[in-house]
Amino acid sequence: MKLLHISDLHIGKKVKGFSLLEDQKYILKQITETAVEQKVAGIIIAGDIYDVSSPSNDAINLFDNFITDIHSKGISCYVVSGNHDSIYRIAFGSDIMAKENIYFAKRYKGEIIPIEAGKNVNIWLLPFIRPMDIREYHQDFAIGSYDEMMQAVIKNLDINTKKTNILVTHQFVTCSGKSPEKSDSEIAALGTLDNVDVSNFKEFDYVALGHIHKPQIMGRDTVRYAGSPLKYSFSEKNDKKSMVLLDISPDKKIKQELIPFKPLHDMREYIGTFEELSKNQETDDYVRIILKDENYITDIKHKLENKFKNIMEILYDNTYTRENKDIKNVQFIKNKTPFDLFNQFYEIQNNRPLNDIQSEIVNEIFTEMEEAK
Amino acid sequence: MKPLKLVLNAFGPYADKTEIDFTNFGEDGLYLITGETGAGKTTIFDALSFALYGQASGSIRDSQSLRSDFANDNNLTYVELTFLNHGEEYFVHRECAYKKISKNGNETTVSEKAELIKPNKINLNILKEVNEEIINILGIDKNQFAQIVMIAQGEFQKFLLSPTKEREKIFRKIFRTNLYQTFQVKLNEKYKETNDLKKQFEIVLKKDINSIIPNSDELAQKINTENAVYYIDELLPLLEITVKNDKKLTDSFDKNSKKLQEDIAILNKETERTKSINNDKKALKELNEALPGIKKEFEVAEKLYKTEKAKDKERNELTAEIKQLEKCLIEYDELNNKQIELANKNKDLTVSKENLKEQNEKLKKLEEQNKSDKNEFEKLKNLSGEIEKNKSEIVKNGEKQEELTEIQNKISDYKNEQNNFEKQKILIDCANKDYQEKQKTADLLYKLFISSQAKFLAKDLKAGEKCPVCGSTTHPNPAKATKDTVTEEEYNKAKKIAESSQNKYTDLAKEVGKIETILKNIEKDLLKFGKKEFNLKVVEGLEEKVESALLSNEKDAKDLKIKKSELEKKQIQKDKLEESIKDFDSNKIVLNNSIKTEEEKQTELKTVISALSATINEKQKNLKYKTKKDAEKVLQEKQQKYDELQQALEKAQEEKEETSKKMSEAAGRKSELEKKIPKEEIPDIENLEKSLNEKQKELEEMVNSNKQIFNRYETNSNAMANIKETYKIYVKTSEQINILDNLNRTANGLLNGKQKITFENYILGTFFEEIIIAANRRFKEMTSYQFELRKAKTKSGNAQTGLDLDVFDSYTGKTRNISTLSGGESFKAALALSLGLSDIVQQQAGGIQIETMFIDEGFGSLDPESLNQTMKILSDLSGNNTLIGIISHVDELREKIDKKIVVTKTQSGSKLDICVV
Repeated sequence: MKLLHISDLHIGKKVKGFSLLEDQKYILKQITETAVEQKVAGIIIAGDIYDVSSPSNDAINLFDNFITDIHSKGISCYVVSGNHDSIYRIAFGSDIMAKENIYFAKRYKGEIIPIEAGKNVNIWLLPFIRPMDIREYHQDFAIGSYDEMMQAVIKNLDINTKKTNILVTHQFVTCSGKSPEKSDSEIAALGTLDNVDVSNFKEFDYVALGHIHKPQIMGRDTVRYAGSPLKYSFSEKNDKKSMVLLDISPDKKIKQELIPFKPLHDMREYIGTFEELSKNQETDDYVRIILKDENYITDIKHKLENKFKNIMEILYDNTYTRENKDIKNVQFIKNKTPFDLFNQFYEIQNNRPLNDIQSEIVNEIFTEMEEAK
Repeated sequence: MKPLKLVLNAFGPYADKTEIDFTNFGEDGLYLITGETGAGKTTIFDALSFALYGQASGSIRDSQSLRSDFANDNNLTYVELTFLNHGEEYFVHRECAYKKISKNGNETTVSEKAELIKPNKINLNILKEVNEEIINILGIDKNQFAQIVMIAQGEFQKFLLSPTKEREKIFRKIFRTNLYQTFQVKLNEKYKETNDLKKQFEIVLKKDINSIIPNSDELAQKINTENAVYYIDELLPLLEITVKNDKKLTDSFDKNSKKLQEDIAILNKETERTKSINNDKKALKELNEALPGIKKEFEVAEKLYKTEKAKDKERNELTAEIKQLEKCLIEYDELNNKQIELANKNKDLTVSKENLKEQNEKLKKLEEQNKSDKNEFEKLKNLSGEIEKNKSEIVKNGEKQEELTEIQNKISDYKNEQNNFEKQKILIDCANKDYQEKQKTADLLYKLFISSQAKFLAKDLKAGEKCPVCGSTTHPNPAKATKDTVTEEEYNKAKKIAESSQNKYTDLAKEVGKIETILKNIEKDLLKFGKKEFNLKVVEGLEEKVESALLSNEKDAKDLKIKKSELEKKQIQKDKLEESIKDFDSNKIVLNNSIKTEEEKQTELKTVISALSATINEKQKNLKYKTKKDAEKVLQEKQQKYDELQQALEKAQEEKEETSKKMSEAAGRKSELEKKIPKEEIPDIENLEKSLNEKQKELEEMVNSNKQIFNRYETNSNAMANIKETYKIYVKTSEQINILDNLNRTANGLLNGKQKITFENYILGTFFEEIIIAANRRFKEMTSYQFELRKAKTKSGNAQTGLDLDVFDSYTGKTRNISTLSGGESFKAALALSLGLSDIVQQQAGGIQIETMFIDEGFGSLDPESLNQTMKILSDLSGNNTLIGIISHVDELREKIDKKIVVTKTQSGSKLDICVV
């Protein structure tokens, strides 16, 4: 059977003030079309459906349409909530929807019941969890770190290794301490180290990961981050965004194919002087412009908007910006006597340094002050 | 400084002891403090600030208002903080100041207390010491702390938008640039001082200039110009010339006047000389006229003297007579003495005679007395007997008295007993009657009882059967049963009653019997006595007799007493007489002795008297004059005469000598004068005087005219000297003023045409630039490299600019004022600025490590993307061993940040819970 694996939709996200809803709509359409084309049995969405826990109405609407569309095409959905999502929102009505083969992972309450997606394929849906969420269900375990948490969870699962077991999870998975390549659009770990080692998943035939936006594998090629469908930051400008097409044969062999996305707008970087860039072709990609001009050009944004319709960032890269204006001046103040400082100041104001008589007077005053302390 | 544990007690909304263990959050990272509005989130920061510095974090809250209103009075408000600094652990405990109402209703303020325990276990208790030590340990004071570590609600916005003056204040506090400010002030003061000094000099100079007396129009003009001070260079030479001229004039005057004075002196001398010569001449003339008279006088005196001298003989005679008379006088004195003695002796004799008479009389009297005494004594021979008699009579009287009283008592007893007896008799009668009755009743009852018995027996009587009583077999009249049956009991009762009554009766009878006996006895006694005393045979009338006997007895007793006292008196008298008789003999002897002595005395005196009289008679014969007085008179006359003679002689001598002297004197004088008077011609005095006057007048005129010039000369030369001196210093001061002015203007930003920046501002400006650079590192990132903070260019004309901020927008390539940023952008700018400030302060203060930071609100104004960017900045910051606490109620943050302190508000105060993953 065929399955499609995507994640990190971040529906409703705004980048640099630009709403990417249209782009998301476009890409979701692509996903649907691909799913239909490839005759996929179900779509796995591994977390971060929305960008915020209370998404905007338009975002909800978009996702609603997407799911409804998928469902109308007779394709199942297997969805887990990510760290950006509110699990309660995502799992709303999940029992009812399950009857229509649209599966939303419910809140973890000590065990996971796998979904039988076709003959001999079990899909395990694990929503994004933190140790404090599950401690009460595993009281005989000492759960200090995320890794220990995952161990407790997995231990409690009744895995039938005869079947093909697919785990869908949104944790931050590392391999022997090595982290995946991160992008700027992921939130840095705000708190404890929340990584989980890939070795926990040795019993699963495929692990559909989410959370990291650059598509990559972790440890083995059957543990895979699908990556985000769109570029959400300029650090991803060179990523090849793709969805994962899984072909599962009854002998548990899984074939994987990466189907690239074609976004509505690309995210690109342009470097050059104003002159050069003003000769560029018109584009409505989301761009970051790096100007090499030495002098600041007034109203640069307006001027460039001619050619570049969607400017997200304008940066300058010239000697001024490159100058590492280190803090010499403070040393400068620290190491100079009051007299020296005044002398300097005087010179600036009078275009000549203090003469002898003046110096004498100044020194006298400073000595007086010193004695008065 | 990294906090490890914070304990709040009765602080803010936390009524009870509340603990926060920061070690739960690990070594670094972000943690969130969340809760409803007013739950007590900012209070946690307040507590931290309070624990360290004793004052709340923001400027709004006051120390005393930190005390929890939820706490009861006994609960002390305190905060405890355990913190790490440079790897060492410190503990501070601080109690809040509060107002207490004492027992008598007065409100007292208990002051703040603090305690600090350092890692070496040293304990500091005194508030001031603790505060100083904490600043020492941390390296920053409260203001710096508030700017760097604690970014309190609303504070950083204030900092961002505050005008330069405010920012100056804050920076000054943080970077301690008040040194430079002081320098500015001091420079200004110095300038002012010197300027004042210069002004003073000008005044002095002006005064001196005004005092100059000009002698030419040119000079006058120069003096009178305004600001003559500035033209002193021109003035001085002119002045010198004037002075020189005047000097010349005065000098010539001196010479001339001197000559005139000399002339005058000479003239004066001449006049004097002439005058004296004339006087001498006159004197000589007079002398010559007087000389013959004097001679004559002398001759007369000589003659007289001679006459007096001749009376020598007479004088000697008188002297001899006087001597003799004096000797005589002594004799008179002696005589007088003897006469006095005689008189005394006579007096003694008379006295003695009188004494003798007296003594004899005394003797006579004594003998008479003795006689009478003896008679009297005879009279009283029988006294002792009488006394004895009186004594016994008294005793007897007493006895009688007793007896009579006894009898009287007995009589009364008798009477009483009689009464008693009567009473008892009545009682007996009653008792008897009673007994009789009772006995009658008893008898009756007995009869009835018998009859009852009889009836009882009768009942059983059967004809033919023997009667139990009499044994008869016939029973003619058996007792009939009647209602009145009396039992044995009843009868016995009655019997007993009767018996008791009888007893009563017998008792009474006994009593009466007793009384009767007593009465009889008394009667016996009374009769006995009555018979004896009054010859009475019956008791009647005894009482009265006894009474009257008592009365008479008492009277007798009184008489006896009187007699007794009389007798006693007599006894005393008798004793006296006895004594007197005894004494008579001895007294007689004494008197006889004294009479004898007196007689002897008399004979002696008589002899002495006759002797004295003889001596007196003889002496009287030998004296020439009758009395001393006469002799004295004669002596006086003689003496007087002698004195007269002597005096006359002396006088004459004196006269002679005087006149002789006079004569020789006059002669001497004459020869003197003749020598003195010169032979030559002498000038006319009148002429001399005339020419003298002329000369003097001339001199006067000269002097007057010189005075003026001299005055001018003096004043001017003084003024010149003063001016020269003052001017020297003045010039120097002026030079200095210029230098100081320039320095002052430079330091205080008052230079014309230059940027009006003060020295301190310059320094601050340099700091500020650093802060901006540090801030920009973060600000650029937070705004996707669109914005950059720049120091605003100073506008000319205002010394205060130099610390204003502009923001450069790279999209437009233009700078604009920082107040044009939106709320969220301002927050980013403010945060970046604070972080930059923190960096610079840490470097400036040299190695203070701020390993913690707190940000109170402000995140609500950020859109989700900005929020992400800010979080990234903060988490980067927290990456190097720094623990950052954020207060916010933004939901997103609650979801994103794992480590939380959740504060909940309840009706009885607030509580907090720590949630860690």
